[in-house]
Amino acid sequence: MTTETQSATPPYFVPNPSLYPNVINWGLFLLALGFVLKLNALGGVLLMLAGTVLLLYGSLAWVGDVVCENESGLYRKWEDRSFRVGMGYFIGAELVFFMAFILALMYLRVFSIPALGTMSDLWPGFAGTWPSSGPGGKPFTPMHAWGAPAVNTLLLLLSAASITWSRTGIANSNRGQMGVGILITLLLGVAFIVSQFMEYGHASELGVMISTGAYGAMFYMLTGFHSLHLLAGLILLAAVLLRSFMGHFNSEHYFGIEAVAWYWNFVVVVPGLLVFIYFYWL
Amino acid sequence: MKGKNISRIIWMVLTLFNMAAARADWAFNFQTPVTPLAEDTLHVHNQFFVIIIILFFVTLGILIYSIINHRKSKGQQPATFTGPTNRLQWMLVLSPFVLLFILDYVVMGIPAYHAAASMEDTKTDADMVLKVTSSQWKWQYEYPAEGIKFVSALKTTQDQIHGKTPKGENYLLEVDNPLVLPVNKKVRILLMSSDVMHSWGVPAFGVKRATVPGFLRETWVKIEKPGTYRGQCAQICGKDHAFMPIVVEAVSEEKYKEWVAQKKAESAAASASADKTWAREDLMKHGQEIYEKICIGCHQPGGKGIPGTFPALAGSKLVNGPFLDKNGRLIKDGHLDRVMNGKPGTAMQAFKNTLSDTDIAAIVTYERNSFGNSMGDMVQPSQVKALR
Amino acid sequence: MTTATTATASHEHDAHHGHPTGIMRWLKSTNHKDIGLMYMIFGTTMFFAGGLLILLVRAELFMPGLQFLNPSIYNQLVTLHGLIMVFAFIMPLTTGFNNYLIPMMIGASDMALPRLNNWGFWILPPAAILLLIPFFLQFFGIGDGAASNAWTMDNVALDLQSGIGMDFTIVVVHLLGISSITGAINVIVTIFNMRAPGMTLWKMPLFCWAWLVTSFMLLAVIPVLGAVVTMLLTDRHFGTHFFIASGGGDPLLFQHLLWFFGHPEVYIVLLPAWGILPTILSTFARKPVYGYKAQVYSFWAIGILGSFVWAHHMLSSGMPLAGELYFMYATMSVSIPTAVMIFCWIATVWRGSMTFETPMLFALGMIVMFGIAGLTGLVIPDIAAYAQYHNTMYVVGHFHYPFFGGAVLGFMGATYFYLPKMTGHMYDEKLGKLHFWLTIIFFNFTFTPMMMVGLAGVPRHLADYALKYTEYQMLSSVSAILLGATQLIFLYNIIKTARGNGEKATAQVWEGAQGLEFTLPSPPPYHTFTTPPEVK
Repeated sequence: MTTETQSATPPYFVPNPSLYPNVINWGLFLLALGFVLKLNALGGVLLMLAGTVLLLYGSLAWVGDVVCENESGLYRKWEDRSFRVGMGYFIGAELVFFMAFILALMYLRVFSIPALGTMSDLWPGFAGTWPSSGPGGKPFTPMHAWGAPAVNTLLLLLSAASITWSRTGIANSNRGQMGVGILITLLLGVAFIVSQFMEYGHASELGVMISTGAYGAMFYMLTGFHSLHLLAGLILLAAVLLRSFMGHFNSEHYFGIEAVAWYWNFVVVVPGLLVFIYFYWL
Repeated sequence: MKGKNISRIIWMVLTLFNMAAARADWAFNFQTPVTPLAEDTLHVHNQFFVIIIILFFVTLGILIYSIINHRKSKGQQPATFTGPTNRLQWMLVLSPFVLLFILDYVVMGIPAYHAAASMEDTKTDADMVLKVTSSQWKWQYEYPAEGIKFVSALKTTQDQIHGKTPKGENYLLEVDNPLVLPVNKKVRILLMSSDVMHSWGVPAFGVKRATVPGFLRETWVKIEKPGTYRGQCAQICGKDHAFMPIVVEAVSEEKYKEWVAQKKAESAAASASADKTWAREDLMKHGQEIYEKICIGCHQPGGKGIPGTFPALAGSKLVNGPFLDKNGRLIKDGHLDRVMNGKPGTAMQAFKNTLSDTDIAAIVTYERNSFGNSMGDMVQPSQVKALR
Repeated sequence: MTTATTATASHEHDAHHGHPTGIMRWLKSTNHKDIGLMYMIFGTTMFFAGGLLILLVRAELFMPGLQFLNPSIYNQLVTLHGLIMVFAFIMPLTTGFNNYLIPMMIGASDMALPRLNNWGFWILPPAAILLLIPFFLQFFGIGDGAASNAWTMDNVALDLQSGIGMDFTIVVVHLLGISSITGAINVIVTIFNMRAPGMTLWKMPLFCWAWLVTSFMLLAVIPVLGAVVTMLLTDRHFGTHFFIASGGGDPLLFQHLLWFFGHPEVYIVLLPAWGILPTILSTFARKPVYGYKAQVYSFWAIGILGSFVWAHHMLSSGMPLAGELYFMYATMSVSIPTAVMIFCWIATVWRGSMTFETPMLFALGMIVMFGIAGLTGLVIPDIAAYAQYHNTMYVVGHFHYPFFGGAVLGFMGATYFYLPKMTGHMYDEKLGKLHFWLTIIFFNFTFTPMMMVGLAGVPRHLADYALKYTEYQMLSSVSAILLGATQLIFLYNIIKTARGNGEKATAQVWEGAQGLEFTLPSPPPYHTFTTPPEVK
């Protein structure tokens, strides 16, 4: 049925044994253990710190290995394709994570709150209309869509354009366009984060706290997770900017930038848009 | 040989199934139905078990035929087909599709639609309303039209559970105050919960519905035969999930009216007793009864509690501290406040919703003067009444 | 012991470069066979750990009354049993098989992302330790023990009320989620990018297809589980109101999101077993797989349909009538592709030339047990009757048929099937057959009595029960303990084979075996297919 033939192409690159995944895992172990102990007022801060150190060391060393292997030419089209497909499905998983929150928001808006409004035996006088902090919640003023949120969304859309422009640059061997594009994206991202934190200040003035029922919970969790992913995206952007200063990437090898561009567009921009449309606006 | 072994074992197991499906009165099929819903349910169940047993044996028969005949030791040469090749085979291939489609959407689907519609229709022709409120680990029943309200909890003693005394006939299926319902009346049941989710289910009624904290759930029963029916909480709800049974006594309309009159008199007497001044010994005695019925599940005999889970009452700071301030108001997180208003987010519930003034006064007095606690003070039911 | 044999046997083949020896070989491994073996050993260890926990529970249920467990410990044991068996036993075990087999089946030199593979495995031991820590902490007076709300945690108000064990479970779910997602991505990339020339998708063994569908399902549902436990965590500690009615939240939202993960999880556990079954059947019937494409389409159909039927687990929680009807009819549709697969399995052995080695016995046993699973499950979503089944012991009995009778029997068969390939030696056939017969007998006598008492109305998760069910519970308890003891035969047989007892296995191992993995010597060398084979 099969024969093994001596083909001319070199074999798929299987990396050398590595201890870094284990360093990360035991870092995660300490971090998780410390976190749970901290939540239950049993100490644990030192464990969390130790875990974070291990986690950071493991991740940086791992990424360092990958970059070195890449620069020494061990990755060719075949390996590159593995990274691309893998990154694509990872982004898919991240999108599902955000969709779970968006669907939770939909459930609360469409089913849960109107249903509570009909149960006048239990919750007399509760209207059951969105936005709401629930029948037992504190009063608050809903956020306005056409202020800072709209500006923020515009910043995100612009950053999507700039990172795509940067990616086109390296694909056409235009390193200048690549660097400028990354820098613009980075600045737009930082502007977004700053504006988002000002928005949190504004929200607490309006009485929207994390404990303000369904509205507050959704507001802080959606924007919070979005901002966290954005921060991760900024770190990645800074990393590829650094690498581009070091002369990495060419029109054949630019998976690093490609991955960051995908991540930025699908994990940062798309959920940001959804939050704007379904949370602030409609 | 092996094929026969398989078939013999499967046959034994399936015979058990067959017995279950064919005889409704047998102990290990559904309990004898006494409501229209439960009768429907049993009918669907029996019909379905016959169908799946036939399906199972036809399929198994084909497999066993193959195992017996298509074996290497019989010199059978393997065929090479990998898919249907002629019209007959295509028909065979499509038969599971057609069969299951008919089974799912016609045989099962159409009756299920009607059953579901009638199950969800709690309001049409409803003769009375019953409110059921669950809490860890007991049921509270309220008849809004009659103004009757009482708590129903496990009657089986801890000694029976731990094997120190022989177990009674209705071990774990008996309560102190059973729910009493008239027969041949459609009772609309509103379900609520004061802490976590529970599930109110009585197999003989064909009813099982969760009680969801903060939400209303509805179901209905129309009992057609007088008798005593027993069920249990069907949703894991913490430590004593196994110990919160439901007992329903279905009685004729006249007996029901007598029972209502009697209950009303009892509650009037209880209300009156709250106004009189109680002697300390009476409160202690009553408090002990209530403690052993309600508090003992968590706080344990002797008020020892379970370390890490349920606080001890013996030597507790809270129990051995003041409970009223100078102006006679409740001290926040004092003993009486904790008993009346509970501690949100824990199994300690607001007992002012379920216990009478006398009960609360008795239990607080008892706890402050037992398990080595000797505060020496007491609470009068009238004080509790004023603090509500 | 398995490890030592493989190490020596593979050493001479290892011409490329020295790899670390001793403990470092395993800690640092990027080799798919090493990682696969570690997954399998970890899974098997957890199988015995989870089994031991439930035997304590069955011993308590031997008689009415509380003998030696208090209800709180009882609930913890039941919960840990579920969590361990699903997350720490079956999922790692099937992942181990995919790691070991998929690269060999498609002619790849390794998994596509080997370091990620190492990460995915080595996150499991810390997670398992975290899961068990709270159980032991309670004996030192810290916290109130492990999670005790059953493995699906679907009573969210109780989750909010519980103590430190719940927090541990939440972080463990996050860690296991990382493992599942990295594993799933690795499988997808390997299958899409690493196939040998000529190995088209439609030539892949069904096991690869099954794992491809499983991986897509993992990617679609594990992030949702991550999201829902995150909401639970913030509800518990940071004041949000996702699941609290006074803030506009709904406990049912938790159930919806959880079962959106929980029901596909059933297929995630079962699909790999469905994938390996036709291979075993066709090998011992000496006949090609019947309806290969039909089975592939069935996998996809079940994967997709199975993701949209979750709320039949919540019929007794109360939903609008339209919702109940939709979830009932949608659930029924899953039975159709399942029937197609059973048809294909039977047609695969039909007019074959069968012999009955242990793997074949397990495969045939799995068809029958899975048949019972499917048929007893067919009635459960029927709204006309659900009230009598839901949350009763009937459900417990029923779902052990697909889990144990489907997935576990299937993978026991797969273990016997590939053991000679992995170790280079044949296992003890007599012990294998004894193991099969005892397993199938005790398995049925453990779980049919549960269905019986369930039909009579006994709810699940009860620490104690009424007197009239005593005989059935006793039968179930005794059988469960014997079922557990029987598995020691299995363990003994594996260890014996791994130590090199038993005759040498040939490359093809079985007379009717097909596929790339059977062109390699037994045991396969450390690196295989470094130059891709040409598949014609």
